[in-house]
Amino acid sequence: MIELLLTVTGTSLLCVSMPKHYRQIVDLLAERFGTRTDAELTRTGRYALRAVGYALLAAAVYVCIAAVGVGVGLAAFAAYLTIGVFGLALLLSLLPRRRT
Amino acid sequence: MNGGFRQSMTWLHTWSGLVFCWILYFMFVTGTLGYFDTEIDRWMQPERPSAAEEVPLATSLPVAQGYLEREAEGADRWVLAPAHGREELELRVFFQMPAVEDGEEGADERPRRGNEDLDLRTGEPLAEPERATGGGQTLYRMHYLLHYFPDQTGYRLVAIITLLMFVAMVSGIIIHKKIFKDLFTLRLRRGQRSWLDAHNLLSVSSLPFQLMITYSGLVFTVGLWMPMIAFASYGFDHEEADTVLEEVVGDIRVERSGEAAPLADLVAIAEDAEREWGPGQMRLLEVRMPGDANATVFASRRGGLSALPERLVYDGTTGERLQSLPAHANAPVAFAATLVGLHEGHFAGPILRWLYIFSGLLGTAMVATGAVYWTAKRKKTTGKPESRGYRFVDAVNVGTIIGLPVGIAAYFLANRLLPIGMEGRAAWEVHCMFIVWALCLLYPVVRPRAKAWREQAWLAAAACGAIPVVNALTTDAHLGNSLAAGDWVLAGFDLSAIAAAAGFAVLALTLGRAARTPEPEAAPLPAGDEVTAP
Repeated sequence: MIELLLTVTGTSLLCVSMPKHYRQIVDLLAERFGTRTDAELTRTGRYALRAVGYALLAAAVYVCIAAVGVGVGLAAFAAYLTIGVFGLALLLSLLPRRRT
Repeated sequence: MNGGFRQSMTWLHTWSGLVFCWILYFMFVTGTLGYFDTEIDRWMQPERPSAAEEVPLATSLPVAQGYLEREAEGADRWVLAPAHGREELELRVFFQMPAVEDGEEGADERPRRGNEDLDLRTGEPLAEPERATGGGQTLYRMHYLLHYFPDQTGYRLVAIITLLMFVAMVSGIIIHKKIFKDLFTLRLRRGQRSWLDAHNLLSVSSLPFQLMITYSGLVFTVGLWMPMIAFASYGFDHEEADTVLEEVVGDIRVERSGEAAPLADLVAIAEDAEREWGPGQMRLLEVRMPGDANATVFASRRGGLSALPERLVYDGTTGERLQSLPAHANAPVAFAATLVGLHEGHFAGPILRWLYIFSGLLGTAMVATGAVYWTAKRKKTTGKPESRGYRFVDAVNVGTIIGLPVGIAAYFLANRLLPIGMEGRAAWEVHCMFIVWALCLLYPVVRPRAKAWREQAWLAAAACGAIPVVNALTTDAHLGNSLAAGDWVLAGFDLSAIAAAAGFAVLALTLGRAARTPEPEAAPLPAGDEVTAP
């Protein structure tokens, strides 16, 4: 499970580092918690999110390889990455739609 | 020039993807199910055990050896595979007798080769199960040989389609400029744009799997695509061609001496191999020229990513270990065997196996959305009466994308409903599948296609939902018993059928809602996003 958690968190951070999806997330949070909606993602923030996102993905690769070896570990990481990306894309597409 | 290149790639992507997309869809569906072939076998023969009974090698190997000495004396090759895990449920033996020319003495007296599952108590082949079935193996074989074709024809067709799939994939990556922006984009209820988004999302999110599965599929058929390389070095002679394989995989040729000699203790050899690799790690023993002074025994190791196993070689008369053969004799073989191993996924445990299934389903949906996008695009842009080509593609889309799962559900239902002991029962299971699929292909010809989509989705939901019900009515292997017994192979199959039924029901409801709601005009696709119909 830790592999999946790392992969989903890593891809989520990479996703939020993109201005378009950052705006989606900020709007979602603003609606739910009444936070500011005009906050823009700074250049530093973007790079920081990317760095942490890639670091978490690298950690997921390490955990997969440590668990089952290099070959099978890389195959498992690719599979977890698919789940992470696909689930995230569905979430981002369906969540805003459910609110409207 | 740049725009022209992308336009060319778009044309290539469209047509290389579309022309055989329904067979590709069939390959994806059956291949995805193939990752659970032994579990499907088990559900289709609930009378068989769900996992191998672990028996010590000292018990199983003498049984196998005794059978082979009785039935395959003088063979060139014996294989003894003890029962283990999910794939080898029974003690299995294989033998191959020396080649005999037609008319030569000894020809046709005995079978030239045999493959049997043995009863450990009697040492004789297990009786054929009353519930004859193609099982999951038939679905798996369809994935690369199709059906109703001679094997070679099916294999060649699959090879061509795999190459086209690879072309479609590479051209798809080239035309998809904003690969990381579109990764998270799925705009629903936007007509053709939604289909394009869905196709892109499915393709990109599962891209590593799709590239691996397609490229490794090509590696499977490399001998078909590039036979001249081997012919140029070894000529057209069959015996010479055999040496290609031996040299490439680093095998050892064993010649018969003609001098009889007793076989070494196979149990001792197997135990030595397990001391080297660990308990349960020896998968099978292969004996070449048993009973001859030159007899040689190969012990193969279990597991690993590669399709080729690591082996230990023993003198077949003394039992002395001669050498260790690595799984890969050289880098190209390592590359090919690893790709083939990745494709087959035999190394995968339960979680990774489910991840294979998930990725396979994404690939299936990728092919389906691509085919539907082709029609959605034309429906929006032409505004003229539907062309014959459009009507054909749309009808076959309905009949295949929904009709094939209905056919496969019929295959499983036939397993429970055809009389036990019926002549040609296994073949008729498959006939039922293709008959139902054919009817599903005809259905959109006689019904308005929008209704045909919805009605067939309901039919698929009903057919999948009927599987656990019919199972409960005809066998004791139903959910009530399997869940209570913790038999997750049988329970998992029924639960998967219920999940598939729910999925098709949601699809039918969505299609019904979409039919009642007028489709909004699709906004023009931004520059660079458009995939132009050629």
